[in-house]
Amino acid sequence: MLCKLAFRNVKRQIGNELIYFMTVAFTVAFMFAIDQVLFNQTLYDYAVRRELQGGMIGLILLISVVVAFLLSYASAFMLRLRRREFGIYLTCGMTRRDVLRLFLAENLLICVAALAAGILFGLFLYQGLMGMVSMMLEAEFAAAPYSVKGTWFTIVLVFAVFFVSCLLAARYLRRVTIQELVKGQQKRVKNVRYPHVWAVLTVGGAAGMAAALFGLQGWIHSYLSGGSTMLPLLERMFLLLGSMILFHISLAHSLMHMLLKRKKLCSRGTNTFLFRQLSASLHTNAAMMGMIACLLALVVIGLDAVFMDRLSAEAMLLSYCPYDLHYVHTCDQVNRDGRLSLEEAKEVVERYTTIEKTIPYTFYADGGHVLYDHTKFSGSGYEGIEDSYIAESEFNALITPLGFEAVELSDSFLVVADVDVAEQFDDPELVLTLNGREYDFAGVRTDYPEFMFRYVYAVVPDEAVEGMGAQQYHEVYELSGTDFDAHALDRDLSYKVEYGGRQRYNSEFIIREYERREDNARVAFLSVSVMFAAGVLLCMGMALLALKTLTGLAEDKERYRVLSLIGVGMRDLRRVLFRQTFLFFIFPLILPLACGIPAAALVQEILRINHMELFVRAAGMTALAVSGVILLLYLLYYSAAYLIARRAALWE
Amino acid sequence: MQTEMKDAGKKTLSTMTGTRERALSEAADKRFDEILRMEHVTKYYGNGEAATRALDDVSLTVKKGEFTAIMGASGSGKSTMLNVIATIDRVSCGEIYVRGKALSARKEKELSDFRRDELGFIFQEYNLLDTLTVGENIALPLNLKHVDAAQTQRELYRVAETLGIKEQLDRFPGSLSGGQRQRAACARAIITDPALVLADEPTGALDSANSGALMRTFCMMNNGLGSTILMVTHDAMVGSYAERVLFLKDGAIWNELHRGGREQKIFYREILTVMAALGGDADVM
Repeated sequence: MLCKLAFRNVKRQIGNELIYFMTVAFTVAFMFAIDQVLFNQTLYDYAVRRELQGGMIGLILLISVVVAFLLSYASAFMLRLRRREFGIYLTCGMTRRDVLRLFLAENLLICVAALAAGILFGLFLYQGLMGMVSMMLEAEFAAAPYSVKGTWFTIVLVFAVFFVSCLLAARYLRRVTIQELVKGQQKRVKNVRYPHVWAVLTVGGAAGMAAALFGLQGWIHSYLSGGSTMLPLLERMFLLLGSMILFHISLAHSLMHMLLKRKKLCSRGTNTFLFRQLSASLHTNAAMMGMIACLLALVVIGLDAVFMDRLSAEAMLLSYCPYDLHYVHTCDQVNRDGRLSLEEAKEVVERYTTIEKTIPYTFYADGGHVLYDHTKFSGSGYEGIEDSYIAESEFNALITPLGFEAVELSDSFLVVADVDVAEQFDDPELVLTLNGREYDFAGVRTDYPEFMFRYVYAVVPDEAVEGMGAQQYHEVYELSGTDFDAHALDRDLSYKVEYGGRQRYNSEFIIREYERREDNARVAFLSVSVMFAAGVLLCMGMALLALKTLTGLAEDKERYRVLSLIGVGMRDLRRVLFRQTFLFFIFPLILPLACGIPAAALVQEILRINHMELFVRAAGMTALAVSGVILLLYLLYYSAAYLIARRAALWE
Repeated sequence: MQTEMKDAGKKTLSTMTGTRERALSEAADKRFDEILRMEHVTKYYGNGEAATRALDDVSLTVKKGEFTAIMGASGSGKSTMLNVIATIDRVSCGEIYVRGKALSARKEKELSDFRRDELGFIFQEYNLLDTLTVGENIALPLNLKHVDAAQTQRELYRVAETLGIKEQLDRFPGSLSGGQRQRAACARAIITDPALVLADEPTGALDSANSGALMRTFCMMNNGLGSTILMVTHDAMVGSYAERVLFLKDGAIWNELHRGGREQKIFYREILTVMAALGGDADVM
């Protein structure tokens, strides 16, 4: 009998249970997809190679916690929605055990259906994710295999959460009285206490966020000039997120109180009713609003950061590897076993591609450290560091194919330095004495690509390096194309070396195509992880808001009925309901979306400091696109929730 | 003679004209005196064999300033009558006029405006919005009419003072007693000076002391403020406060009593007698 009743109840209440079904199905789909990715052997091996398995485990834990929270909340929502019905069952003589069995049977039906739907959707979502990874890795897409382990992990976790929810439901149903079920626990509406204190805290939260953003800007300059670590970044992020939570909690308590004080505004139509409705819902859910705002801010900042990372990775590659292939030979190095000679190495390269142009250059040293004395790498402990010099003609042969203007030095020298070191070369009277001749300081440049992996070197006239010892010999090459197996070439050019008791592979060649693909892999892994986590957090935020909105609808229906009796037409009722639900939904989203602006501005500043002006505009457009997509998804989810709410609250 | 006849004729004509004018004026007065008129109103629920006749060819008139009670057993059609007057439900046939304007042809928007502008409601369950303060509840109808804030405040204080709930304006309905809530509901019902105040079992959720207090409030609204009240009740004591009582049986008006100059207690006993007869005990009459 109970099974029949459960089945009939589910069929009858399909509208009410739709949001529960959607929430569970989407959560299961996301979870299934990420479990398939995380249990994918190839990706796992890649993560282990790059010591990312800790991150993967962290991601599994985060997703599991989010799923558990969401499924439990959805289950509790269903119980609250139907408590009156359960109360009536009890008054008809059903035992509490029977009522619990009925509730569990219904939930099990929906849970199994949602699990099936979620896995089905997850099958496609997983292939979509893998397609995205393939695209980022520039690999050909092939249908990725499914993991049995991942599938079982998903099913076991969903049922585990379902089991825990059942225990909590059983506890509630055992304790609650029939009166409370039937009549509901009458909540006394009260005015917000200490509204002025909350208003002050709102201002405090806003000030905290502003301070965090300015602090971040200061940290960027300090970090890029080598004067700071990552710790201040974490501190400022904590300040930003903590202030955001405080701001939203305080605003939720104080905003409507302030609006209700404005008599002219309140005297217009149903404004008083709207403000009171929002006051009650924001006041009750203030902490949740703060948390959702914090999560959404993480989503926006995380997505902005990961897309900027992709942009800047491309820019950094061009700076780090200006040519297709770069050979570096440190002149005083002892020959290592297995290392190929330069000619042998070139033959290996020719097996994969064609060398079209070769540009050789040498860095010289005179044993002095005049340049390094102007940096922090001087004094005790740094005696072994020598200054490096390159001849003007060789330098110009390097930079002119890349579009830079040739330098012209006559009795002067040009310092090429990293951004954080360049500031220290501010003495125009600096003079270098090389080969008995004095050369004046012609300035410092930070915008050249990396031709040598040192913090600073100087470009000097050709005669200045005569007689100096060669420090490093380089050759850069332009190749005929990039369509070759860069990983295989890297393997063929590498040799084994003993380092710290372990054997590692080393190479004197930097293959730009290899570096690009490695970067792609790192960025792809990071991008997919962040996008997925962002998707889960976004869905969780929206699902919580939808469930909260729908929970209060039973009481709202009665209030809207009274409004109708007093003389508010259906059109006006719809308008009030729309405003009430929309403002509630959008409340925690506005500021996180706005965070995209300072986030984009900070990234643009980083790009400018690193002379990546070409990517500045793209960074701005990316931030705008991220905010736009989030807003669109939010509005789509809200539309579904609003239509369900309208049906429930306005007897349509 | 002819002149005299002519004079007499003119006089007669002028008399006739004057009479006609006076008659027309009296008729017009009567029309404006009339707040509610129901003509042959019938209401069915359901279809075919399962159809139930809730109102059966009901015709009545309520004049301005009247305090009328509608009484009857459960299922007699009292609440249905109130619902069709309040435009919460539609009639199956017949017509209802409020201030001379027919309700049947009006669209949903017009009916909403009508409820907002012409009617005031007092329900058994108060139906105060629990998220608004008492003051905001009372002022809500004026807000819906976009009356400016200053005037709204003035009207609010006037009505609250009249009904003795000025001290409760900043409190929420949940913290008031039943009697206070019902007085707040009364204040909301009359703040827009509606043509008609409809009350559906207003004492249903009150104890006897509060019921008596509420009825005295209704009398004050009727006598002091000139409100026209149409009240549905099953309670003879409550009905005895009205000036006129209509008895419904099986959807039709079965009897009507007018209080006249009688005391409330005597009128109460008369109502009891009619109620007993309504229950089938014809010998009591």
